[in-house]
Amino acid sequence: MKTQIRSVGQVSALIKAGKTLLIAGDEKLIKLLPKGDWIAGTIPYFMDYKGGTFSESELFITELPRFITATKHQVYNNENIHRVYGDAFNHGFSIIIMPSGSDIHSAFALNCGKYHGFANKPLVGWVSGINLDKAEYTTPKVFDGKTGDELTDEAVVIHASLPTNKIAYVDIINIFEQGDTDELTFPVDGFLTKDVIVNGKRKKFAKYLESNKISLKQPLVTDSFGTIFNTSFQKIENNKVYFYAPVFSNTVYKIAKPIKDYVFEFFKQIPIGVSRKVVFSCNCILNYLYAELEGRPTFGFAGPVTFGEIGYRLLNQTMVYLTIEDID
Amino acid sequence: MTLPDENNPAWARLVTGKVSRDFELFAIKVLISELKQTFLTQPTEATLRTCSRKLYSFFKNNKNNPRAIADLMKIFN
Repeated sequence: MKTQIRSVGQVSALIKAGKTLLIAGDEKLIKLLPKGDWIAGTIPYFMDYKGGTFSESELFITELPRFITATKHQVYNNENIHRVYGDAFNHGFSIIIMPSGSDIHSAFALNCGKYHGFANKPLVGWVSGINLDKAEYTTPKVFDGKTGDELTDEAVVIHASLPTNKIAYVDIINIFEQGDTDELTFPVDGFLTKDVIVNGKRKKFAKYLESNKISLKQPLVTDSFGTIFNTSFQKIENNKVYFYAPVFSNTVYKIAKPIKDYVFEFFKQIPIGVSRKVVFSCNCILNYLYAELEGRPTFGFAGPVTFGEIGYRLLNQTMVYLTIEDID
Repeated sequence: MTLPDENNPAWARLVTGKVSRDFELFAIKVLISELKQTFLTQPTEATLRTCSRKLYSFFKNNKNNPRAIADLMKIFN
């Protein structure tokens, strides 16, 4: 994986040299970049090989491999996001970045499973965010390097084509599992709720969490026919519980089992030898915070720290990665 | 292996959950999760046909994908 933390000048030189780049960083730095074959999202937290890193003075780049045969950029809004799978090359992969809290974030999270060709072609990416200490006066953004456009309500995508002897795979590492807790459902789909239905009885969710001493570090977990998906807590405000991904009214959730050692649990799940095949990876801001990753090694994975991960659908509190392998 | 056509009952058995397989490919896990949830929410013959067709189309579109082929063999072998 060709990933690095670089200065604006160094990144500009790579862009001018024609490299295809995925960029993460502070918006004031991204705005200084020349036009080219890149997309970007705002975030000042990264997984670097040396460890978790916070920087508002440098950019984090992922350079896509030279063997990619073609790329095309696409900006998606609420009207055309349903085409994201169909627009991808027949043999390749797509990288998407969307701003946290935007309409496109919500639309994709709630509806992507219904999109034409859902999961038929590799789609991976992340939800851009902000410095958590500046939440009141900054907004997550994405950028399309082809045009230089700065976007707050659209998603940017690089669709990439692969030669026939290569294939891309999307995988995740999710260290959570359902705890032995109440069964929780929600009256409506969405990123926030006041109410929860606990074992069939409607209650105020904020009060339920408080009275049961449930840590917001433990996400809601659903076992969707054998596949575990998390929905992370963002905050509780004015008796409303906010999430980093929507809850769905037709889904049964439980609170995750507490994690004793985040780093060890991640390490246990990393497939042997996988890191050398990784082309792109990203990890959730909550893993960064709760695992106290700043300055700690991230096991050969590098990439942006995110406000949500995308591995075909919106995911939370996972590490998502894209590998490219040779085929006969 | 040859891809069984979209009317093969094995697709529907996966969608309804009458059979399940331990798939390797994350894409197929995500897709089957979505299709099962769709059928559970609206359990009609029409939904089952649509979901079965989507599952078949996934394997058709991924006929050169080694991990998809391995998962296909788990369904039909």
